[in-house]
Amino acid sequence: MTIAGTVTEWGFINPHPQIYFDAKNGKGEIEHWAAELLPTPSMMKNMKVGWSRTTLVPGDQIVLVCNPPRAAGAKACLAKELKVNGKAWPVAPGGAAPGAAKGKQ
Amino acid sequence: MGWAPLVTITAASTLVVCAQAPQGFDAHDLSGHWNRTSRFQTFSNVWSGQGPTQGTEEAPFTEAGKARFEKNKPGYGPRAVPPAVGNDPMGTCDPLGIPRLLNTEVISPHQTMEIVQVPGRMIQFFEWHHDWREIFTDGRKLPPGDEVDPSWNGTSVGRWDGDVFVVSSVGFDDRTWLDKFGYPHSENMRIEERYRRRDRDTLELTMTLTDPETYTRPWVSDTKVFRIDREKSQRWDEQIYCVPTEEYKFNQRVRDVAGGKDSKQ
Repeated sequence: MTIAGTVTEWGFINPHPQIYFDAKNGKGEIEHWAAELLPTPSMMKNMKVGWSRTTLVPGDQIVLVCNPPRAAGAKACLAKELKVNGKAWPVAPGGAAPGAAKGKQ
Repeated sequence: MGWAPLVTITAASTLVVCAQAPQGFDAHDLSGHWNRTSRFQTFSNVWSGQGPTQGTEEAPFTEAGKARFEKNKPGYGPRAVPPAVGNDPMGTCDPLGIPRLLNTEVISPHQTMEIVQVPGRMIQFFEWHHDWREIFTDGRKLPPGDEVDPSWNGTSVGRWDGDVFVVSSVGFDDRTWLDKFGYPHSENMRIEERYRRRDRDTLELTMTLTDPETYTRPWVSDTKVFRIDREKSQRWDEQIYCVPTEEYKFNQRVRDVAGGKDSKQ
């Protein structure tokens, strides 16, 4: 599933980094979402692509590709791909996120 | 033991193969940072949802052991539930204990186990939860299990049996699990760990767990394989603590929500 939204909070903390964001549903209503990134902050820093406590700030526009949440309709998911203000950021150790093909940025 | 050719080039540019020299490693030196590379995060090859069920086997539970297993509600694997209705000790940053630290929580490349050998002791440092454990090697005898107070990582002594480092432990707090999938143990669990440095870069570990209250027979683990991580020792200490306030927030705002147990609803 793909979700677009606006960052409200970024937590670069253990056990897994978290993005909190607002997204509009099909009716145009704002919904509050949470997304988890699978690697730990240490693993993400070791990617050496710039992950840090300030990589995201409130107001950033993001597009996420997520695994569907375990419970249908839940507003939390595990992110597999992430774009921040149009730029793709790897969210898996060893390079690009699954499916984040080169040239997508 | 591995061998590498020594190659030299003479002044006359003649290639000379001088000899074969061993790639140095001391089988009795287990020191270094190690990452587990073997597949199972369980004590043995029980099914954990990590792969096909073929080749896996059920734990040899006693009736009481099976009952305790059913009471444990993990956040991972085929029996996973959201933290709001689970009781994984990790959800509250409680100590994880031995053997869970060895089975589950040593994962490349950051959750390493560092072994430090000093006179009379071998110490294992676990990056995940920033925990450590002492194994006495000064020749003392392991006390009877009923004479030591239960502790999170048990009471351990070690000795060399040839090139195998044998660790015997008793006195475990039964609030810990064997892994993150909810396999239980009693306070009377005994564990024998057998470490062998297979080559310069590889460490093997096999464990035998004896706990008649929980398992009908001594239960032997799969062979855990660890690969040395020399880069890790050059990085700053990562200090991966389990911070209760952060863990609680994460569980409440992400895991519980994803699992349909939103506490705000």
